[in-house]
Amino acid sequence: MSNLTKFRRTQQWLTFARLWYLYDATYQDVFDSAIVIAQYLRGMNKPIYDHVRQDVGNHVVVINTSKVSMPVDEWKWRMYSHHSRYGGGQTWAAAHELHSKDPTIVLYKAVYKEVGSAPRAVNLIRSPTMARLHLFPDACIPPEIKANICDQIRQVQPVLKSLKDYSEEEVEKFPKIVDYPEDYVVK
Amino acid sequence: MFARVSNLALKWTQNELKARTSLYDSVRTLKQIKIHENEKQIVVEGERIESPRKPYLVKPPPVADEKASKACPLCRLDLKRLDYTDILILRQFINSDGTLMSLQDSGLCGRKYKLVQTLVNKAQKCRLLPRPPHYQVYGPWDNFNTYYDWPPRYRDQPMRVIRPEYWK
Amino acid sequence: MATILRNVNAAKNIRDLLKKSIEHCTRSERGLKRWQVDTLRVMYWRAQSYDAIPHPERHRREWQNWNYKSELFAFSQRLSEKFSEEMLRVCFTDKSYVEKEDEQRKELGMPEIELRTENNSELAAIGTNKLTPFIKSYLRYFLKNVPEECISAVHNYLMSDTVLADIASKIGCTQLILCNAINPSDEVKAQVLRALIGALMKEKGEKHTEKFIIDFILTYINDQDIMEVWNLPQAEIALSNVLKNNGITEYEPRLLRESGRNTIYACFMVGMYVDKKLIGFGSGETVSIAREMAAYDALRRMFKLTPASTLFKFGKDAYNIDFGSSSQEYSLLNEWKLLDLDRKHQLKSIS
Repeated sequence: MSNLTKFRRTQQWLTFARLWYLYDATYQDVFDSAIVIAQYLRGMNKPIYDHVRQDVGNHVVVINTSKVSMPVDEWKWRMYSHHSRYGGGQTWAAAHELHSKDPTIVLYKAVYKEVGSAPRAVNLIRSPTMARLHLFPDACIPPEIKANICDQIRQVQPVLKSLKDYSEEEVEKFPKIVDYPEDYVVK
Repeated sequence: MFARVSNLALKWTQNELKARTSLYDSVRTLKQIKIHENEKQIVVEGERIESPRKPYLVKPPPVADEKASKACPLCRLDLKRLDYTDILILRQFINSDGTLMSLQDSGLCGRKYKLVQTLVNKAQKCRLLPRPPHYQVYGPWDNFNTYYDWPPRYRDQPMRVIRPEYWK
Repeated sequence: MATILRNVNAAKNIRDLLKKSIEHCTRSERGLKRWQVDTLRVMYWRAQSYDAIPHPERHRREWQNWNYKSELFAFSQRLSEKFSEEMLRVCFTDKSYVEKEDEQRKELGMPEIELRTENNSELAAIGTNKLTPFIKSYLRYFLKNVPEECISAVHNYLMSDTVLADIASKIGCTQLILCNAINPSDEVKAQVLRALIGALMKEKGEKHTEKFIIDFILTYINDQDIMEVWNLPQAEIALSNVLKNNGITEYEPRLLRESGRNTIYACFMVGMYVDKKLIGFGSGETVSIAREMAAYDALRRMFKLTPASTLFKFGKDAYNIDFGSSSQEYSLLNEWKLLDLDRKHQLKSIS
């Protein structure tokens, strides 16, 4: 740092600044969005990124993790294993079980895998990288974290709209294909 | 239409009918049902109303062939890639309680009715459309957010990897 | 091994020697011999022992094969300048060396005998007199949109002892200098370089000296950020003064971007706007620093001192330029104005 002058120093500061990104996980596929989030966490969106072990990553704040989606029935058959390191200590849990216990853990595990699930001694960069991931089950963020955010990550797929999301007027004035038949009775 | 009932039974029928009429009101069917209450009798009357869909009906494209003009409206519109996410279209073919209309009520041909049926089922599975009463839910996984992707991707196949005794 | 043992006494540090010898052996095809390894290992642990006496530092001239005359000849051949040998001897003789010689003679009891005791201070004065105006006119020729402070700051930088000493050591003056110390200081080295230029003035004339200065001294500012060399203090005050001189009273700093406001690595980016046009932007860990840097950047763009826009010429391209035409001083920062022709262009917003 000593040979940097004041302007160069601030340019350096800007180049290596850790940026704070926001990601809205509503109706987003867990594993697709984990790929994108991991890229931002490791700083792969930066032009200075050169190597896996570089510590140039960003912060990512993920909101609405309880509303993440999976393809149909994947909640049922996606299994997570855990071994207690005792004999017969292996246990298995489905994704929906984990998700109902902790609405952030499915996304956490997916990002963990993308960052690199090699042992801690090999992947030295993982624990500081995962520490930069902030997961929130709903849209409530603490104000001190909200103030840090500078940008948002584009979602990986369009958010599906249910009938409740449309207003009554919108539904009523939408072009109708067929009229009701004569003597129509609602069952 | 009218009925005579005892006092106890009257209360029960009242509640039920109120629930029913509220359903009718929200959907605005062709027959508006009105209830007149007296001391000892309830008069339920079906009043005809004008269809609320009338001003918003789509004009089908003109066809030269007379035979083609008899096709079902969905066939004549020839929508490209109608999907389960187009719930404002699919909604026109379901009743207020979420069940699908009958083939006769929908006014569609057999093929399009089948298509609409699958799409409505998909939309209900993803909870985009209201599920009908007594909809079969097999477990908590059916209540989380899901989606259908096209073309389908098979990221990995844990059903084959994991032994069946560990399935839950 | 013989060469290694011979050099043991000369080595400043036994570790350096070991490193060199190991490099040499590993680079050779045969590699390290068994007996060499053993010897080196023993020597290493001897050097590590706490009562090891460090080798005294000695000058290269204390060796038998030192030939000062041939070294001087080689020096002038390296630079492809034909200095006379007498002149070179004077150039490399420092004042401290002469004083030291005099004292030694007095101690020996023969002060009457006068040796040739010219030193390089006169030549250095001649060199300085040539260097100062030439460097300034060279800088003025290529930097046309800057105030006089910038020119003098860059000149002072080039004429500083550290820069001149660095140049002198890079052209191989260090071991040729005669002074009272084994390793000559920066001042002594700088003095020698100035004296060399003075010698060229005496022997080869003005035109030739200018070529030498372009080749060896002015090339030092190649690829350097002139604004950093200048190191302008209090950029925002300077910016407001400059804008006032040009009839612009208002400027507006705005926060363009920010990230991590509540963290220790917060980053802010501030832009300077004049008449809704962005004229410069800077960043920093606080808003005040970023604001200062934005003013700094705006000035840099006004003075055309961005690395892309400062283009000096060196070598054959610069030999035939008439630098004497640009000897007139520029206005100072407090009175500095944008050139009329360029005013619109210079205050163009950055896209």
